[in-house]
Amino acid sequence: MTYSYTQISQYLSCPRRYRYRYLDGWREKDTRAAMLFGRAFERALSAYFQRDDPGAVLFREWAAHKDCDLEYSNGTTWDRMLQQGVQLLERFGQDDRVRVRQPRKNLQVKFTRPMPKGNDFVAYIDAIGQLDGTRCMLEWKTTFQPVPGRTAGTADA
Amino acid sequence: MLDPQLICYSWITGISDVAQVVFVRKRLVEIQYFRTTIAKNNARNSAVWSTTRFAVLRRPNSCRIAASGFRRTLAPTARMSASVWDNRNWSTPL
Repeated sequence: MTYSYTQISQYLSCPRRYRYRYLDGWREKDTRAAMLFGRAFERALSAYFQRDDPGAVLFREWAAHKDCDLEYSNGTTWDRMLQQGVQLLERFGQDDRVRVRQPRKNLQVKFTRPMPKGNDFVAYIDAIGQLDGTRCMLEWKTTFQPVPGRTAGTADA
Repeated sequence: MLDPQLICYSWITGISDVAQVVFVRKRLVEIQYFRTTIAKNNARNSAVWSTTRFAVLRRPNSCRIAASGFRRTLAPTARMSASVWDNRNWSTPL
């Protein structure tokens, strides 16, 4: 059997949900706008590193959900999220702190590690690249709330 | 607390230097950059956090999309939580 971080964390949080999804094969219909936007934004980031137009990719990917009956949280809208996404892409380019060389090879990189009894553990890493010149494994996350307790050391002080 | 997913991914890749870029969709969007080195036993790590907010533009800088730049201030070293892997007994899945 092949395990993943998401799979194991879902089992730990709700074994029944794990069973429905991974053993019985049920898939939840995802109507959460934030989740779908996150996927669209990740594709836009990939476009950014591949020197495509990330704004156009974000619009195209996000537009696919425009007329869907999505659950928007915190009173936001489809248009507002698009605007925020474009601003974040601009900000990301302005910062220019993350580099990914050979993006086709170093984006969404699959790693597999053998486990006992013939099992495997698999992970898809968002990117292998550099942050401020230091080579590292990179993960993206889109969220409505900033990660707390890390305001010290803000770069825009 | 460090995202346990990062610890997991560090373990599977064998890469000790990990970073998370958090794109925050709030009224004034911001990006948080988090870089840390995960020691083999996860006893300690050093972390660097910094945040940039879209609303504060300082000096121009060449950029493919737009133009601005920020000076960077490193955050103090932070302690990381204990490993989620080393001391956990996994239950057998259903």
